Amino acid sequence: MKEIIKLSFGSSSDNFDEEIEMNGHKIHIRGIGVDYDFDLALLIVKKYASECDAFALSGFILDIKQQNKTHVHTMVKAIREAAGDTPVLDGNMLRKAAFPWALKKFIDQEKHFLSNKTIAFFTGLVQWNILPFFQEHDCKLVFGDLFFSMGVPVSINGLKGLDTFLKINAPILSRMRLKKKIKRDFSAVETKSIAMKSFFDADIFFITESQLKFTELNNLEGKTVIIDRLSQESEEKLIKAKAQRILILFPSYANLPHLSTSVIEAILHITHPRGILTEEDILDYLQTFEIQPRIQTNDLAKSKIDHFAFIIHPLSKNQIAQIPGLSFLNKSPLLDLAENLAAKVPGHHYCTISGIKSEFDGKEVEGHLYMIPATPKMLLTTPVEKVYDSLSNICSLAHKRGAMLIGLGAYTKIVGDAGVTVNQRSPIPVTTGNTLSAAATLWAASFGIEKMGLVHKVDGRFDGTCMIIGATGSIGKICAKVLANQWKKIVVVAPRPYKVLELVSLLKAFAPEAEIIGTTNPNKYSGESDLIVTSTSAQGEKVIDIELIKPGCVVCDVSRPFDISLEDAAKRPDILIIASGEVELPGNVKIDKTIGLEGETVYACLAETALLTMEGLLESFSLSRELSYEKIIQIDRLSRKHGIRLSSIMGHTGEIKEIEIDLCRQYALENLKKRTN
Amino acid sequence: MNILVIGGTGFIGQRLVRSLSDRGEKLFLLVREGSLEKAKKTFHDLDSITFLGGDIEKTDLLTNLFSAGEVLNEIDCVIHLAAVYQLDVSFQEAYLKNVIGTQNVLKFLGRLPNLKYFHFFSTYAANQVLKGNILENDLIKEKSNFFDNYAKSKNLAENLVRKNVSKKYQTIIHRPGIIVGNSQTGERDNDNGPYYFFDFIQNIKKLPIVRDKLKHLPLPVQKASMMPVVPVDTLVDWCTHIILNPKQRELSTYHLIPKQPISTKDFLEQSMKCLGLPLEIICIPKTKFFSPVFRLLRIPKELVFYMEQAAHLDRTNLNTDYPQLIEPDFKTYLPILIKEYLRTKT
Repeated sequence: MKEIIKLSFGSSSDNFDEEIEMNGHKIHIRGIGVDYDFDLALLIVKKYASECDAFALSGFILDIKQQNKTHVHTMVKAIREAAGDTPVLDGNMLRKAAFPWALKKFIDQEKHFLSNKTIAFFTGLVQWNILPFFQEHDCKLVFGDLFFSMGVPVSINGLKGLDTFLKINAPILSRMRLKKKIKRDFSAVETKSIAMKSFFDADIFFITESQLKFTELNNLEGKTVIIDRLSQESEEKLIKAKAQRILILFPSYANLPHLSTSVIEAILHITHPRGILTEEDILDYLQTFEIQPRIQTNDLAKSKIDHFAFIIHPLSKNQIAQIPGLSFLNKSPLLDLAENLAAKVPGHHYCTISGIKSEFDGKEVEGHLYMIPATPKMLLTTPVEKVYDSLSNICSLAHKRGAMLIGLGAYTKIVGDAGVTVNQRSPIPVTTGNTLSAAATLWAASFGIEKMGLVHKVDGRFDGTCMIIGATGSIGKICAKVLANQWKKIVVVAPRPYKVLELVSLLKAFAPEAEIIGTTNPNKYSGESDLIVTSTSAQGEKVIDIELIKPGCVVCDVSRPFDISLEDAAKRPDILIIASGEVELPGNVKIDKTIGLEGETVYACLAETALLTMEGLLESFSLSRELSYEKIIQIDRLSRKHGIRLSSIMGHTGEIKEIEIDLCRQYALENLKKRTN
Repeated sequence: MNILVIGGTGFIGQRLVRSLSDRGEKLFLLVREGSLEKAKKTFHDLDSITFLGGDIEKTDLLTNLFSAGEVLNEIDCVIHLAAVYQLDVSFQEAYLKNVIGTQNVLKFLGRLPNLKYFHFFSTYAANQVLKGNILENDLIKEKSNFFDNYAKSKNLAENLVRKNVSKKYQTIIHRPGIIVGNSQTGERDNDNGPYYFFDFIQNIKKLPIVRDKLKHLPLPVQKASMMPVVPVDTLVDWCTHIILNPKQRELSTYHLIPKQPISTKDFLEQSMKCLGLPLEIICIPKTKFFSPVFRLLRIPKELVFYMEQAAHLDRTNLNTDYPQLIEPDFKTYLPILIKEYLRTKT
C-alpha cells in the first residue's frame, strides 16, 4: 500500500486516516495537523519521510511570485529539504488549471458574475494562479496584503500595486514565520480605516481555506465570497460574517472529505507511471473528473429582503409638467424646451416600492425605481450610445444600492437593441420585463372576453377572430403564439410585409389547426375581430380606424403611449378597451411616489423584475426583442406561485368597473343588432 | 476476554496488567522491540501474557506485526494507555507519542475484526479549564492556552478518539484524576504532579523565617480549586472493574476521581502538617510577583494549574454506571504517601 501524509499547518483536530483506491493503487492517506508548530512539522517530515511515498502540504505559505521571480517560503524550503527524496506536493499545479476553469464554468452559468465587479483578496500573496483570470475579465482588483501581512490598514489597488508591494516585501514575507497568534481582524478596521475603503467596498471577496484560519472576517453582508474549498468550520465562519453567497471552486467529495488539491496532486504523482507529474496529466485528470464549481446561498440571506431596481421615464412631455415645481410649464410654449433639457438630466433614484412579499414562501423584496427624465420622443431621437450610457450608469447606481436585478421600463427597453448592450455593460443582470407584460396582456384579454361573453368556445377554441397589431414585435409575437392555440382565426399585423410572412409561416407550423392570416393593414380585418391586441411603438400615431372595429370587440392596448387615443376611445362606448398588462404585487405593497398608476398597481414589466428577484432567478430573463414561448409559460407559473395577478383591469382613464363592462356589453349588443338589421 | 494492552509497562499499565492477569484474562502486550526483554522480566511471574514487539509511533509497524492474522482475530478488547506523561514535556515529543501514537492505534483498531471494546486512557486535565462544571461527556476543542503540553496533547488525542468513535466496537474513555502512589505502601514511579508540592514544602521548610516565625502562608491558591487525587491502586481497581463490566454504549467517558475531591488548600495544609510545617494557608490572588518566587522555590509552572483551577469535575457517569466503586480516605493514605516520599528522598 502506498502512503501519503497530508501535513497541515492547522489544527490536529482534523487528523485522519483514509484508505482509497485509485488508478489500481491502494493508498493510505494520513492527515496530520501540527497546530501551527513549525518545528513539529519538520520533526514529522524527518521522522516519516522514509515511511511514506509523498507529502501533501496544506496551510503553508507556498511560492510567492513577483514578475519572473519566485520566492519559496523558507518553511516550505526546509520541509522539502527535510523530506529528502520523498516528493512534497503543494497542489499549485492543480490549482493553476482547476480554479480558473471552475470560475469559467460558473461564469457560463451566471454571466454577470464578474461584470464590472471589484474583487478583494484578503491576500494576493500566493494567488498568482488565479489573478490573470480576473484581469482578463476586466475586474478591478484590490488587495488586503498590507493589513494581512503587516497589520497596516491600507488597501493595495490593482496588480501594479501588488507588484510594487511584492517587490519590496516578498523577500521578507517568504521568511515570515506563521503563528496562529497572528490573526488579522478585518472587522476591527472595517469602520476605522478610510485607506481600506476600496477593499471593503468590493463586490466579491477571495480567500482560501487556509487564509481564513488566520483571518477575522469583516461584515460580508450582501457580498459574494470565492473560496477554494469549504469545510464546515469555514462555512460557519462565512455565515457568521453574513456572506450572502459562497462560490466553492474545488469540490468536496462527500465520502472523501480530505481530498484537497495537494492530496490529489500527491495521488497523481505517486500513481504516475513515469513518476513525474506534468501539466498534461493535470489536464487529463480535470477532464476525467468533471470538476464543478458550487454556489451556495446563505440561509440568512435567503430570509433577508432582496432588492431589485427598475427604470422608468415620463411617457409624455405633459408628465414633466407634473413634476412638483414645474407645473407652470403646463400648456406653456416652454414645455418643448423643458422636454429637451430634462433629457439631459442624468438618471436618479426616484422612489422605493416596499412590502412586496411572496405568497409562496414569504420572501420579501424591495424595489428601487430610477427615473431617467426623457420622454419617448427624446429617448428615440437621442444617439443610442448616449442612452446606453445613461442606462448603464443607472445600473451601476442600482448595484451599489444593493439591487440584484434591474428592469427596463417603457421606452428604455425599446431603444437600440432592447437591453442587450445595457445588459453587457451592467454589473447586474438586466431584464426588459416583456415576458410578464405579454402574460399579463393575455390574462387581461381572457378576462375581458369572459366578461363580455360574446364569443364562445367550440372544441376548446374561441369561435372567432383575434387580431394582433404589431405582431412581429417582442410582445406581439408571443401573444400571437399563445392565442393561436386558443382562437380559431388569427390575424397578424405588422408594417413590414416580409416580417408578416415570416410570422405567418411560423404560426402555421406552430398551430396548424388555426387559420392564420397576415396583413399590413389592420383595418381590413378589424370589422370581424373579437379580440384585438395592439402592441406597437407608434408613439401615439393612429394605427387603426376606430370606427371600423366590430362592436363588442375587446381591445388590449399594450403600447405606451396608447395606440388608441382617448378621443377615439370615447367615440366607441361599445368596445372594451383595456390598457392591458398592469398587475398587482403580493404583500402589503407601498410605493412612496406615484408611478402614474393607481394604488398598488404596477407595470407588468416591473412586476417581472420583482418576481424574478423573489424567485431568486437573477438572470436576464427577457432580453432583446425575441421572447420565448417557454418563458411565458414559466413566468405564468411563477406568477401564480408567488401571487402576482392581474389587477382590476385598466382602461385609458383608470380602472374599468364591472358596471362599465356591463354598459359596454349592452351598447355592443345594440350595435350588433343594428348591423344585422 | 483477549485483551491487547498498549502501554502495559508504564506506571498504571504494569499494575493494570497484573490486576487483569490475576482475574484470568488472556493478555497481549505491545512493547517496543528494545524494551521487550525488560518487559518480559517485569512480568516473568505471569504466564497469561503474550509479548508483541511494536512501536505506536510507526505508521505501519503494528500492521506488519499482525500480518499473520491469527492474533488480530483473537483480540476483542484493546486498552491504550501508552503516553508520555511529564508536565514539562516538549510539545513536539508529546504530540508524536500521545497524538500520532493514538492516531496509529485508532487506525489499527480497524484491522481487528472481532474488537468489542476500546479503552482509551485520557486525563481529567484534557479539559483544562479554570471555571465551570466539567461534564464527563464534554471535551473542549481547539483550545490553545494549556498550562502544560501533556494536557494539550491528551486533549488533542481524546478529541481524535471521540471523532473516530465507531459503531463496530464500544469506546470507553477513562479520565483519571491526579494519580499518586499506592494507598497501602506509598509506592510510586516518579515525582510528578502533587509530589512537586512536597518538594516545595520541603524547600520552604528550610527557610528559618517560614519555619520559625510564620503561622500563615500566603499562596496564590484559589479557594475553590480542587486536587482530584487518586491512589494508583484505587485507580487500577476501578479500571479493572470497568474493563470487565463494560456498559453497552457506543461511547462512555468516566472521570476517575474521588467523590469529594480535596481542595488544593486542604491538600497543601495537610501535607505541610505531615511534613512538620503546620501552617495555615491564606489564599491570595495571583500576581506577576509570584512567577520569580515560584522559580526561586523551584515550583514547576505547570503546578500553577492545580492552584488556579476552580472548575467542578462532574462524575455522574461513573456514579450511575458503577455505584459500587469505593475509595480510601485521603487523610488515611496521605501519611503513607509522605512516609514513602521521605524514605525515597533520603
